Amino acid sequence: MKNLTPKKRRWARARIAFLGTLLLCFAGAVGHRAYVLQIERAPALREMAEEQYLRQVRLAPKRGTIYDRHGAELAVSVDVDSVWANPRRMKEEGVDPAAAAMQLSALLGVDRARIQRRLESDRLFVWIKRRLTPRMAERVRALGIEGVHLDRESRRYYPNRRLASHLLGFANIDGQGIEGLELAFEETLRGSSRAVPAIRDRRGRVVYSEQLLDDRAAQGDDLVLTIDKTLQHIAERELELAIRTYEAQAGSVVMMDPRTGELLAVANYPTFDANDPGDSPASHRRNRAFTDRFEPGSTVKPFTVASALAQGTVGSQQLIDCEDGAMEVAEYTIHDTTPYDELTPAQILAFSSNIGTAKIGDTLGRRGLYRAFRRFGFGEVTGIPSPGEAAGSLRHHSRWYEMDAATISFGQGMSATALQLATAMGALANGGRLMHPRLVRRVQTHDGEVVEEYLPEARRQVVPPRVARLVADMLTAVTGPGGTGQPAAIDGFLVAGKTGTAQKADYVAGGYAEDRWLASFVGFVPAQSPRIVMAVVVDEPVVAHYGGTVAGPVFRRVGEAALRHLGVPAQGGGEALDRFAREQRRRRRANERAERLAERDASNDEPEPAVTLTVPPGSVQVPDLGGRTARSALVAAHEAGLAVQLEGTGLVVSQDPPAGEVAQRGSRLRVILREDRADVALEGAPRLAATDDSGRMEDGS
Amino acid sequence: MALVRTMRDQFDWGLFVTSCAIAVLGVVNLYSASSAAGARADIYIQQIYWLTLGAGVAVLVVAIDYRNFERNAWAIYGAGIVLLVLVFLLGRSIRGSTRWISIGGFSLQPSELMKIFLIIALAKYLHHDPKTEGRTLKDLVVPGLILAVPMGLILAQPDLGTALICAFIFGSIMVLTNLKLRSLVTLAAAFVFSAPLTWAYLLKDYQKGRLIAFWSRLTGNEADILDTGWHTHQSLVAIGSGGVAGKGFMQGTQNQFRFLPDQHSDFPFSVWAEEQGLLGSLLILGLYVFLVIWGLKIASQAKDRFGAVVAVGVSAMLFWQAIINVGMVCGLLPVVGMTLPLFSYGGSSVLTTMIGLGLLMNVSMRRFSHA
Repeated sequence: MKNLTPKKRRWARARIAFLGTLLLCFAGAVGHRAYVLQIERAPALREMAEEQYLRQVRLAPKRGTIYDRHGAELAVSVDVDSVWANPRRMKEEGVDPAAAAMQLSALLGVDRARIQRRLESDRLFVWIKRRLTPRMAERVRALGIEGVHLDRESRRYYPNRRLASHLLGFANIDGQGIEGLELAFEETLRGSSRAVPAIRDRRGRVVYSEQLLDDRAAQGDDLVLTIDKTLQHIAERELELAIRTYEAQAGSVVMMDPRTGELLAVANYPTFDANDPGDSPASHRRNRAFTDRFEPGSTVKPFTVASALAQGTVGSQQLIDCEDGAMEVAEYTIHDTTPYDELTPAQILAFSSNIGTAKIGDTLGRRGLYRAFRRFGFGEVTGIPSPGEAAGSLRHHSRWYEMDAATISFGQGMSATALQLATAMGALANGGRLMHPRLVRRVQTHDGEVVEEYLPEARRQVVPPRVARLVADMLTAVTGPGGTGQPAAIDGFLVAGKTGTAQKADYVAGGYAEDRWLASFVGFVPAQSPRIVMAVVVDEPVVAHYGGTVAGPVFRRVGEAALRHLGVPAQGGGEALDRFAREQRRRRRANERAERLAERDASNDEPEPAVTLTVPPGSVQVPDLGGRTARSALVAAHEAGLAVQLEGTGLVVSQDPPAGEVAQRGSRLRVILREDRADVALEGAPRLAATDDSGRMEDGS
Repeated sequence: MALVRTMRDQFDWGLFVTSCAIAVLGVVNLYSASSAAGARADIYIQQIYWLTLGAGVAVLVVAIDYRNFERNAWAIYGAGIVLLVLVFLLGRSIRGSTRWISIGGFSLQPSELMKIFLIIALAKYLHHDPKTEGRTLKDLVVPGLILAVPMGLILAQPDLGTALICAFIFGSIMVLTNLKLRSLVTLAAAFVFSAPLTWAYLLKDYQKGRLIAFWSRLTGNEADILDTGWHTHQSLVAIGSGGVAGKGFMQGTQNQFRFLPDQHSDFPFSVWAEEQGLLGSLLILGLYVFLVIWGLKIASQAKDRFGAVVAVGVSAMLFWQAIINVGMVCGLLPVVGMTLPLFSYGGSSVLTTMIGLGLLMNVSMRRFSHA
């Protein structure tokens, strides 16, 4: 019976088949289980796996560099050594904390007791001192104390120190952006993965993977700014000079390419060294050009006029009655510094008539005026990537008092930032198209691959190109002879612009402070095809306060340098000169008519504008120094290119050669001063419109 | 000469190729597992030595006509029992179990070999007890005893996994023998009633812990993952995170960073599944299924009852070990010490499997010979 019968064999086979089927079922169950685990539950389980072996390791990736538009480094990160200790390990190795503290203290200049206290703690990690100089690091290494280590850390360094420090801001010791662009572009600069996933094994030891060696993960992206380091430097230098000269408190310069909205320079004063931000008070670190709002005053008049011309509520040749210098609005009276009878819009801008501007503004209606200003960008942030940008205030027209409707048209009862003024003026320079101001051209990886590019972006067409050109033309008169902004004129170029001399609001006493001013000039050059638009604001100048006098020269000097730097050819000859002369004649006629009607100043007026043109090269016109302080006289003379010999103290009572004379550049001007102020007022040396660049016609509002 | 001719003519290529495939993939997998941080680096080399030795033994087993085993079955069985007893006398204890005895520098695990000896003994008994009518419980007494003696010794070590496999082998073989339905039901009832007793008296605390962990995972309560369920949890994470295509050879994070427990002996499938994905898992499962079906085919073609029972027994052993091991690492079954035949690292396991495969080959090759 050892061998099976056929029947038995069939039975046996059947049972084997049954067993096989059973086994297949089990195998199917396990296979299905594998499917469930590896397909259906795979994502969740993969996450669990990553949780186990991935651990966020805080690497300090190298912070990205900030470049100017031509690739000059403005902010860089360098690797420096920091020294730390593992106290527990020192204990294990039997290192005497007191002795170690003594050695380290002597080397690093850190308090011995403090180091010792740290070394005696029961921790695994304590900082001893961060950011060592290379020599210090070398010496610490030479000490070779067990458990004391050096680590490479990244340190932020601003090679140009104070240059553009307000824009750049700064980063703290941990390489975290605190202010300015460093803060606004924190994520970009610090790198996409500050916390880098590291791989750890079951015991928690970190096993670095290749991924961590990837440069991109350990390196932040670079910023390329629109700022031109050279222009920035010039702007800062000239602003500081003006502020020191006029004993002002603060100031800003914003320079922009009107065609693209790119900011070429943003200077502020007072300033600070971004390498040691803690050494300066917070007020010095403020980017005033973006954060400080002020009553812009007359600088907004071009926007009122342009809007009215665009709406057609006023014609370009329309004569407007300027009420002989005083106009009642509600229970207030609006004054012009100089009374005028009838002026064209161009003349209203040239002479900065408050009354004329208010009347032009009135033609727009409250709603129209409000919307016009909003369209120029007032009352809202420009969206520049800088923390703390102010929107300025422009109340809704429904909440205007009767007086507001008149004063807002010439810049009182509203506020704006220097950036807003430059941007709005940029619209007039750019054929009526308001551009987004930009500070950053592009974000790129450290090896130059572009990550993000910021292209010029127009916000809106504020006024038609025709109107913008017309107003730009009108604004050239401001810097022409007799204009309030003559000191802003640049030799060989037509400068369009507008001065502003605003009394500062007195928040304590209410109303306006008698002796605190804000001098400004906002303009662009060359007027025909503008390359730069610039707003200059000087806060509380003491020596002089007229926008033309204080801010004008800053515009001229910075503008001159900028045009040279940008390679813009001078347009002094040919057609431009013809146009200039035509403009000159037209303005003189208007001037004469205005002067005839201005009784009060009639005796003082002399037809000086023509003289300006007749000054031969190498010669200058002698300025009127009458009634000035010694310092102011010095400034004015220096401004004119003359040396000064002072005699006596007090205020200037006479000068030789007299005002208006043509003198050799660099020749000596004798000035006699006397103490008694009343005498001066009485004697009143002749005032000349052409040379008293403080702007007799300035509205003084 | 007859042997050489038999070898040439009757050689079972299907069995050979499948076994080789599993063994080679196993070595590859162990190479990855042994490259894990802090693991013994020479484990895959060791495994190659064991496989070589096992192959030698298998050739020996094939060379001897299996009817010689039938003749000496009781002696073989008795030797196995003696070895098991020896474990208690001079065994060495690892992790609370005494399973190994040292023979000339090698550590031998007699319980592994006992599985083969048990199969031979059962085959011998059934070969000589051909019942035409259905078997009743009474007819199970003798085979039951044949099982009970070694199983008791193995449980006492304790080695729950191997004891279970012995029981499963027994059950699989008994399905083949005309067992009556009533007997089957009675057996099942006895198992159910004995479960609480087993729990109370037979199981060690760590074994209970594993069962509790298994139960809590089945019921969705994973609170004690960090405790006894840790092994399975890590295994599930490794397998699941492999996905369809796997993380790639030597790229398994759970393996390489040693989150997986017992990568070499009990959890090599997890390493494989993590690195090779679902496709790899199904490949290995497929190879085992093919091997077992092939074994059953050999059984059905066996020329005598002894050969058939041996083939069924060996197939059952391979199958249950594979299915329980994979089921365990997949979280379908509670964790018991169980190797994956040929795939896991381990001398005794490899040797036992090789002997089993040798027996299969033996039966397969001699299915037509009437010598």
